[in-house]
Amino acid sequence: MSSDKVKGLAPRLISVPGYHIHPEYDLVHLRHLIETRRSHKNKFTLNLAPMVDMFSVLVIFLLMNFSSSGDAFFVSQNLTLPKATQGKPMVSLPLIAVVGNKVIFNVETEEKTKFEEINDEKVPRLRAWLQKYKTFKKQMSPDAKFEGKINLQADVNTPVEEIKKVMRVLMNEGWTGINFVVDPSKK
Amino acid sequence: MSAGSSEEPNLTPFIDLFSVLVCFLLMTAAWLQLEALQINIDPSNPDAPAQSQEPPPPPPLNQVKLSVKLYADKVVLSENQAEKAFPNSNNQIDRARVSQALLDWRTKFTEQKDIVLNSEKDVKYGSLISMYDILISSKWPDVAINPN
Repeated sequence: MSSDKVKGLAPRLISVPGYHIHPEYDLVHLRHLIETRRSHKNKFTLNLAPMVDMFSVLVIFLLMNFSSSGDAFFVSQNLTLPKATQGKPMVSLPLIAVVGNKVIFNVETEEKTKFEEINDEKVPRLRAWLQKYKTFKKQMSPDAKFEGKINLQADVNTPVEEIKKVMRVLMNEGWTGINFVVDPSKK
Repeated sequence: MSAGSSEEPNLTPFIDLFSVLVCFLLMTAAWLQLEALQINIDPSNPDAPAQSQEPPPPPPLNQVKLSVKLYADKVVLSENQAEKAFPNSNNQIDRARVSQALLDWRTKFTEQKDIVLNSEKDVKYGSLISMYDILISSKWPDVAINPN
């Protein structure tokens, strides 16, 4: 302690204190590492490799389940399909649904596309549509034999009599290739 | 690439490609997997369409008429006049026993192909499909449904 360092007279030297009291214990490399990390903190980079991995797995999964036929099949609301193990892949055909005591079918007209009729074997609109469709099919391929294939879907709890009524109508109109739409249970 | 260099492949085009592919495949995916059972109409039914202009040949004299009749609470297998009933268990067709009986028929009547499936009015559609499924899986592929 020197005598000239009187409080308030001598200019005060403000210096950054060292890292350690004893410089021989200064961890230079550790300090450098900490400084480097601190400087890199602002350069945030997203590691995209896991993202690409995830996309690859997703693409492979979707490609394996891809249906190239392009057919979209719809099940009517409030309808549980019966399960079956011996079904074959469904093909795109005209579709009739039996829900309760009603028969529902799709016809493209100017006003609407979906029609409902009471399933009483008269079903004039359904019969007219079946005849029209049959004529159209015959006109499209006059040399080929008309197979009369049609898909029929119904709820699992529908009485069989309702199904048989529709079957009789279809048979009368020459549609004998009836396919029952089923839910494939695990084989 | 030299050791210590930090060059990385540019993954942005990969992600672009995968994003487009995933969107396309998700939109075109068939989420609803449905199948169909093609049925035959009982040819003895008067409403059934004629397969050809010629009358069908008479059945062989020794041919047995096999039929299955569905009731709400049981399944009856008929071999000409002889009948065998299989009561339902838990409101469902006793699949194991009926399948075994049908397999026995298959070994007994090797030449026979046709079998007719009849049902009562109070039977549910699910039971009809279930019985049809049992028949096909029991090696009786030519099942005809009686629509009356």
